[in-house]
Amino acid sequence: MKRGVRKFALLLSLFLLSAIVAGCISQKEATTPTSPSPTSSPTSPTQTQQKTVEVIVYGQWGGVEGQNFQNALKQYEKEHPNVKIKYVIQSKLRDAVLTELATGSPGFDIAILPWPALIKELGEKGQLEPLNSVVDAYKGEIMENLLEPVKSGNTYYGVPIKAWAKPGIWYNVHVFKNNNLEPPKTLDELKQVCDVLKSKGIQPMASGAADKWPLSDIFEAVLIRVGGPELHQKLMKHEVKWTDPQVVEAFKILSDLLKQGCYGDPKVAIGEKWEAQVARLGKGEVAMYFMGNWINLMLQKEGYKPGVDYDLIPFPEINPNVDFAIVAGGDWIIIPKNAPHKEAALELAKWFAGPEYQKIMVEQKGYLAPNLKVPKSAYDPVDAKIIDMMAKYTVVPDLDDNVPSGFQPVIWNKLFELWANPDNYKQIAQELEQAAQQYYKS
Amino acid sequence: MGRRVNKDFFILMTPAFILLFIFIIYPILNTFYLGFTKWDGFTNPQFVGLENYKTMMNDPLFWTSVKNNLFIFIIFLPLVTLLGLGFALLLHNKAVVGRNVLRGLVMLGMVMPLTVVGIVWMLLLDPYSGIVNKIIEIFGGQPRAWIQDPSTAIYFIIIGSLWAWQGFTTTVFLAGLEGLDVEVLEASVIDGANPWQRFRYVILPLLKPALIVVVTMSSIYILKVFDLIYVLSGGESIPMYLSVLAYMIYYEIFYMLKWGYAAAIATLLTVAVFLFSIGMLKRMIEERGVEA
Repeated sequence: MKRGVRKFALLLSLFLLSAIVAGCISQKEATTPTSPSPTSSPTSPTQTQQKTVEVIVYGQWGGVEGQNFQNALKQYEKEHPNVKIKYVIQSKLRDAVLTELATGSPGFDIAILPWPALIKELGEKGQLEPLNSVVDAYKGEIMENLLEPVKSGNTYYGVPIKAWAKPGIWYNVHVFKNNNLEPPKTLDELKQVCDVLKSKGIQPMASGAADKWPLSDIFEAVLIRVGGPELHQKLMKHEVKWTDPQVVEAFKILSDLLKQGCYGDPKVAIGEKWEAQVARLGKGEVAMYFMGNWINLMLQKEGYKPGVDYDLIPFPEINPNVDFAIVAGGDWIIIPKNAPHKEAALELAKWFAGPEYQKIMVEQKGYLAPNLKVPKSAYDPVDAKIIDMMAKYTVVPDLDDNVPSGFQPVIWNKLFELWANPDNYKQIAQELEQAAQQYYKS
Repeated sequence: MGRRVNKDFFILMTPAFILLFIFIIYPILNTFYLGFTKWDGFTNPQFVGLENYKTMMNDPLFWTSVKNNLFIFIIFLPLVTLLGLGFALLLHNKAVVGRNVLRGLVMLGMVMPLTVVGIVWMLLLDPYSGIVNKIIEIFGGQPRAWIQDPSTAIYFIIIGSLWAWQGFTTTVFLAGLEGLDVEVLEASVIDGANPWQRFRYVILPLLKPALIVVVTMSSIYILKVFDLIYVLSGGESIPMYLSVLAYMIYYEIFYMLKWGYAAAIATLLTVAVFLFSIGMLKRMIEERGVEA
């Protein structure tokens, strides 16, 4: 063999080894937590004059919501010329955040997550920067029920920057008027409305079953109407069983509605993607849709007018002896312990948690502010109505977002199985109880 | 001379071996080790011996996943082999009009990422706007959510996988057919063999190396199936009746934060895939040996 070829092979081996060693060293340096010092701080006066810091924000807000968010970020960049914000839409946000945290050197400074149980878990595992300084900056201004789920001991590992609510059923005003129907106030009225609409060839209700998560919202609405907010909260904490008679009754009510055809043909309904149902509601192909406040923005973007083309009612009453409650949740920001630009991220987090940013977002519609200093005048009439409902009724955290994180997809899948086979509701309740015992134990 | 060759061999192989060790061997060994630990991905792994494997044996999700993997495997493997062989025989025939265009079309599923394949099938099978349900309606049938329906979902996973993978099997068989000795085929015609006898006793035995590659690679592909199921079932939460081992690994990591347990499942899956690879390599070496 020629000597040159051997030399080349040896050199290549040496190069590969040195590249790997260098890579490992630089990785180690990157993963070593650096204590924030005035010189290393990206926002320290000396550095801000010289260097532009790029803060990377991960989130999953896309479409109109993502665009609105980008508009708000421009305002911050205008006020902070040395800070550039790079918003990265992560379609698989959970995977990206967990994988990067596990490496010890995450590539993001802030992530916007909708999973409070996961945030608390990551915080307790020492992966997140405590955000008490951000919370303290707005003492008494941030919705307490959104701060509580991300608090462990006295430490806050997340701060809510967006609130949402699942206030009730959105309905197509024209469909109801054209068929001389009144929006239902009780379960019996709902069933009657379903029968009339079915006879006219209109699908009474949409569910968004193919995405699975909307089913837990419908279930929670029924559960609250059966046993009130107490039952909802007890089930969330597994202080009552999934086989409790009241919980089973909630399953039965859904089963009856499905079998009656309120959600259309079950063989088709299980294939409904949630976003597609918004347009169907606007067009009147479906008369009612239980969904969160965000579809207000989506319907308006499609050209429909609130109060004229569509409106909102609370989920019909089932048990008159229990209080009504609204399920609400939010999106929280987190900062990794080893964030590349921690100081700049903390500054930005303070802005996100404050009324200035949230007012910009609220004015663009479809966004509820967890910061109570945002004036009501900033809200669109429908969003303002939801804020009023939240003030009037009890607000409870979303059940499936607050159960142990592995149990959440189990709930979604079991409810999906209920949609596919409504007769099976008792077995589904039993299977959920079996799974709950395992998840709450672990 | 022999010693010199060996020395050169090792020098030349070193760069490849370093890369192989870092990107293949080390991760496999590390996964194997992590399978014996309790690890949440963030804190230090704790050695727990065979605990993860014991848990696996009592985990209903594991057995459902194994059952689904086997069911998909048993249906998929013969179908993809026969389809590939059928398409290859058809496209090898010079009498077929536009066979070059057809070859390209057959390959389409293979060149597309599986996530794209999943989205295409989701659109085709949409209960409201999908072309499949529209055709069913034209013929008086009722539309259905085929992918979401628990009684039909797994079959559409298999159909989607077939569509995506048969391009590969067709290509391998086509390559095998192109490489056949024409003189042998001509001799069989002279000897009076009819088309079926020619296929059964001449072509098929000569296609054995291609068949081994197809069966082995298809087995490995289907044992690892994940992305297509993930996309077709709407992502994130795959229903239990569709769970496969590769999904279970994902679920245990990203929802349960049980990286050690997931590593144990991954080890098991790796061993299964490895056994198929060994089988292929052994048979290929044997074939080469016979040829030599």
